[in-house]
Amino acid sequence: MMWLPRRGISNDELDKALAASRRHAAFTDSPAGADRQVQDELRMIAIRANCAASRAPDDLRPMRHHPMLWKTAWGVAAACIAVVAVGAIGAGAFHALRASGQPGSMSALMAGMAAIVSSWVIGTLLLLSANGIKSLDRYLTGMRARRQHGHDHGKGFGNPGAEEGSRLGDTVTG
Amino acid sequence: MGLPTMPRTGFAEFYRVHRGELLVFIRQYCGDGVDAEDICSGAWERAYVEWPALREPRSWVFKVAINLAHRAGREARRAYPSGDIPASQQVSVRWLSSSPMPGAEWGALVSDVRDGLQRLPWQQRAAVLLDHDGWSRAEIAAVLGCTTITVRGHLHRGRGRLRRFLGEPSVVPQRASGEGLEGRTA
Repeated sequence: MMWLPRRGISNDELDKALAASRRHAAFTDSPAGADRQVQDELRMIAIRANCAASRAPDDLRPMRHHPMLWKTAWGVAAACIAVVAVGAIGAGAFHALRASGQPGSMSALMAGMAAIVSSWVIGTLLLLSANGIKSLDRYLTGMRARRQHGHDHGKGFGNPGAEEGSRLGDTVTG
Repeated sequence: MGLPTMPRTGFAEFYRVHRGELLVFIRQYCGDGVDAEDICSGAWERAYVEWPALREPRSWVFKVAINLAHRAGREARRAYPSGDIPASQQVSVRWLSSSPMPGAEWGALVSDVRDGLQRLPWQQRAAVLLDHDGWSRAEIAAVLGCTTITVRGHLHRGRGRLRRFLGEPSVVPQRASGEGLEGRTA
């Protein structure tokens, strides 16, 4: 087999490039005032963490249309269209075969179509149930929190960050 | 109602040691239009809240920062779907190093590296950056939530893609003329 040289820079050169990139992004404190700066930052972290923990229900941000709900709705619509399309094709083939008078082929076709449709529906339902339950849970959590605090301002409000405090860092959001 | 008064012994020292490391990592990890300092402060806030329960705080805070960076990136993409971020919204990276500002040729190289990193999947990007910072495979695995063998794969593929990208003829001439990598010192 003919040896072909790989394009690209060497590992050493890559390390140098990464080191240059790192140096560009480097954070080096000036010796004077560094400790005070750290103390200020720590104080700010504590204040902001306390504010987040004591956030009143009035501060709840309005909930945007939840993307998961939209995804779920689109998924259901797509699944319905797919089932109808497969059913229509199957019905067409069924009628064509019945007209041709070959009962063996017809039953095989029906079994195949049933298998395709059922696996499709089951798979879609499994996916949707995972996503849908998660999004509905988040939505209902926000609704419940708002009602408990007597701040039901009508539709469109929720608490998207309600679960945040308990799951921080546990999952890759997205 | 505030945070329960739990002891946070060692948090200040931990923050003092690792804050620069996290900020540098996030600056390299994120693309344009994302405020690395904002992401880091969010991660540190969460670390402060969870501090008494944290077992591996270094990996944890990096993982949270990566999550927040993804969220910020999604919001930036949603706000500017075309990818053209207006100048008024671009985050200026303050130069905080005590070493002199890089020259034009360094700027071109850094820009190439940043572009190359942004083309990598997030696991490969994080693995390449953390490995270059001296993290062990096990530590990287804790951040990425995978095994050390997977980390090795991410590293191999990530470095390979980055090497090829930086060596592409379309990238090399964009740098200052006559400025090869060989002559540079890191």
